[in-house]
Amino acid sequence: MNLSWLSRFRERPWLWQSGLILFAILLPLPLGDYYRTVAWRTVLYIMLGLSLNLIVGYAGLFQLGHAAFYALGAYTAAILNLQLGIPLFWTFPASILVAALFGFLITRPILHLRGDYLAIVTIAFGEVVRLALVNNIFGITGGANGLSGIARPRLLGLEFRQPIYHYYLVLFFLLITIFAMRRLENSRLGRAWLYVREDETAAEAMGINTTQVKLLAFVLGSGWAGLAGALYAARITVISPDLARFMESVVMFCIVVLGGTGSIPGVFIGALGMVTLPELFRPLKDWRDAWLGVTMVVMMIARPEGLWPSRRVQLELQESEAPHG
Amino acid sequence: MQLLQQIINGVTIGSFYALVALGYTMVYGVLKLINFAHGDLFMWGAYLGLTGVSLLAGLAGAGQPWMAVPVITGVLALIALTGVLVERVAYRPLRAAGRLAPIISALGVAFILESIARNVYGARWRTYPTGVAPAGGFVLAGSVRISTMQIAVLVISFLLMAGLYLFVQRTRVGTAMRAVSLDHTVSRLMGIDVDRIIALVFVIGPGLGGIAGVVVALYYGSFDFTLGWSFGLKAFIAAILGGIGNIPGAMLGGMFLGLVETLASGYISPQWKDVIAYVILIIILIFRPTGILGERVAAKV
Amino acid sequence: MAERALTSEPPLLRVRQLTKQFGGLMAVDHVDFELHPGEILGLIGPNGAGKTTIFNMITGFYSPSTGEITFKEQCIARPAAAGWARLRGEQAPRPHRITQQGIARTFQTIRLFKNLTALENVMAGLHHRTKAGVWQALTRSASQRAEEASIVAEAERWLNFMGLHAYRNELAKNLPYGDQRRLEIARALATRPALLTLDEPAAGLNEQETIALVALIREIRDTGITVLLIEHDMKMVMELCERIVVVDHGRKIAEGTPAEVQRNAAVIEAYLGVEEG
Repeated sequence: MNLSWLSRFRERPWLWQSGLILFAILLPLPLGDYYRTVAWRTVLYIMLGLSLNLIVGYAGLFQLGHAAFYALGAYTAAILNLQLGIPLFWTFPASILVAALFGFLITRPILHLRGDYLAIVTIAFGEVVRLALVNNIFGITGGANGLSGIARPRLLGLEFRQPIYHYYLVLFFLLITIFAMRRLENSRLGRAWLYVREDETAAEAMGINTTQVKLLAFVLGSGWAGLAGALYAARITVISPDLARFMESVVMFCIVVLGGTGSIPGVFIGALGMVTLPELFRPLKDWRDAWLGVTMVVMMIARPEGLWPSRRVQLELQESEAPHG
Repeated sequence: MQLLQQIINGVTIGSFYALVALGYTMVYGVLKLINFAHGDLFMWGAYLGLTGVSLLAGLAGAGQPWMAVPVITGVLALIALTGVLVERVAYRPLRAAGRLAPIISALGVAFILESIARNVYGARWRTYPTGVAPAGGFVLAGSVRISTMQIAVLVISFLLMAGLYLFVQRTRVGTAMRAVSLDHTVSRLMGIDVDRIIALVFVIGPGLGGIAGVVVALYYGSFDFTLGWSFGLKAFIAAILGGIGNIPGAMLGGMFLGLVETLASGYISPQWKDVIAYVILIIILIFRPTGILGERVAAKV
Repeated sequence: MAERALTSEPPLLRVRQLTKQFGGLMAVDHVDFELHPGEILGLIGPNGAGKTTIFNMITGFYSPSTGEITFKEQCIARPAAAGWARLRGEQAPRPHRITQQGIARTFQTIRLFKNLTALENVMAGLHHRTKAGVWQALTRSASQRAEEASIVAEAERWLNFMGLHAYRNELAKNLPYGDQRRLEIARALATRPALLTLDEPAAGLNEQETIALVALIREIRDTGITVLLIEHDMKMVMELCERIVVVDHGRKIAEGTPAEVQRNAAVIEAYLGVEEG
């Protein structure tokens, strides 16, 4: 694959950045509602991918249960809306906080685990959250059928009913997300994540509280996923425990890794491959998972570092110590 | 009394977990890779068994217990072949690629296997023809009984596990396998054909998983395509509990998980039994990150 | 120079009855020694004598089985907590706290952040003395920008001090071996330690590089930093260190000036004899 044109673009970031924003704004105008929904889903998953990228890409931690936080955000918004009648937009901060809080509580005791072991525990936590939702915990999650009848959000008297409104809504939050990610990336904290990912022991020896730094990645990433969940609830108005499925977590994980771990453009590419393309091949709907699977295997063999790896070479993440049983 | 009955049931389920866990543990041992596709290979064992049994039952007019023997043999061969193929195509090219790429590739294979199964066999529950699983059973005491099927399950899994243990501990090839799990480079220098040993692991692990697939499907009677994921994850937990990479550990972990799950579902709540299994996994990993039988290693500085 | 040790100042570091057991193996067996402000102390002994284990306990990477370590008259190491205490977050040992208290280290096998630049490596040392968090990163406030600028400026000073400024934007893994060792020291110095601990800094260096390193360590000491050195290169230890502690099989077998240690029969037998034999 000849990717030299990519590097030319990288030298003039403003060019493709402003072009991309303009494209994103104009994109839904000529499209029908179905494709507007596809675009909405893509943008939502880019957001989810970016939130997971904070954990997997920057801090180098294997999180395979990210969908749990997405679900927690969606359920928080839905429950607050259905039980207390709080308008949906006002539930967003609560969704972020609840997901972040769970991120904190769940990951605090497991941060000392490395590599594969961390991946396993996060899978287990994801399943615990999903099963708790299925079992109608506290009688407020609606069991296996989930919750429905979430009121559509309103802003300045405008009801968000058409897909295009929701597209612009998630696009707005995506732009904020990208802005925030870029600032985090180039900050003292972003460097701390890099140090931890490169060599946790050496980072520790530099006086960096690696536990705190990793925890912060998890908490921020989880909160962000919670926001994405609330945005989902706002658009679909019906939510179920399926949001927390392992499959969802895997899709998010692949979005981060396929495009190039740790890189923001990589997440875009990952979301296009994992979400948009399968949606566009609707006749092949039954074979969607097989298509994803083939993509994953072929991509990893062809370009194990992803299509658009971050500027920093990613080998260190892959070299990270193997736990020996 | 009820407790004894649940122990019998728990050990039966535990031996399923143990058989599947062996596949995870052996692959992890030699490749340090969580073979996410293993659960789906196991599920394919159940589906291929269904095809085989239905075929024989159709020819003979009704299901007979003897049909299990040729079907299990055939499934063993097919799943082992698939396992080797998966290793060759999806894992071997990534052996030097670090830790993330093989995980994604393994998840990809799992997606492919599951998707094909769903498209070929449908998403609905499938049922084995009756008459194949041996009927009847024995009353041990009062209300406690053990079915012929349970005895068959226990005998089959005991023989397989004992055979595997002796193979790995006592034979030259088994020794080579243990050497490869310690260090590929040194093993190669000692004249071991590492690729062949790994291929052999992908014969044995998925093979056992395939057998387990048929036996599990016979035991429960019906199943659907989610079997691979739900059952696979449990078996994987069993492998972790026993210390991944550790063959006796996988057997012990499987039994332990089967018992805990049955008791939890009997005395606490069947709805929450999976949650309890996961919580135990989490707690054990927090305090003993290398499993029950795993060695504790000081971090190298 | 040795007079420094005789001043009335309390010791900077005191190791008392320090013991580490790995299973049945006594890696370190009731070792005592003290380190006085401003001195260069060498910790030597044959391979497997327990030097690096002592080192890892001082820098917080292992917790002692028994015994204690005090630094600036504060206890910095005691036996590890286990079980529930660990869940409550008392995950002793915590090396970063030791660094924050003023002990910096290098590693026997170089552990730079290989894929980051030399400058970024040194900036790591400044992390614990700076503050900007999530909010400052997002708002990029004036104070945050000032802090970033000061981090870069100070990291550059340390690169200059070590003569590495030419490599500012070079990835650490691309530096020549000797310069990687120096970069590791620069990174440790950037944490502004009171005590710099060096684990075999001359390993793999040629003779000229070793001579330069000796001069450099003296220079570091002259800025007021105390130095603890583990080293195999006897010539270098004898030349550089004012006092030497010798360990063998986990026990301390001798302590004194280089001249005293060289005359010590136990040392000759355990260490020098082996080296030359």
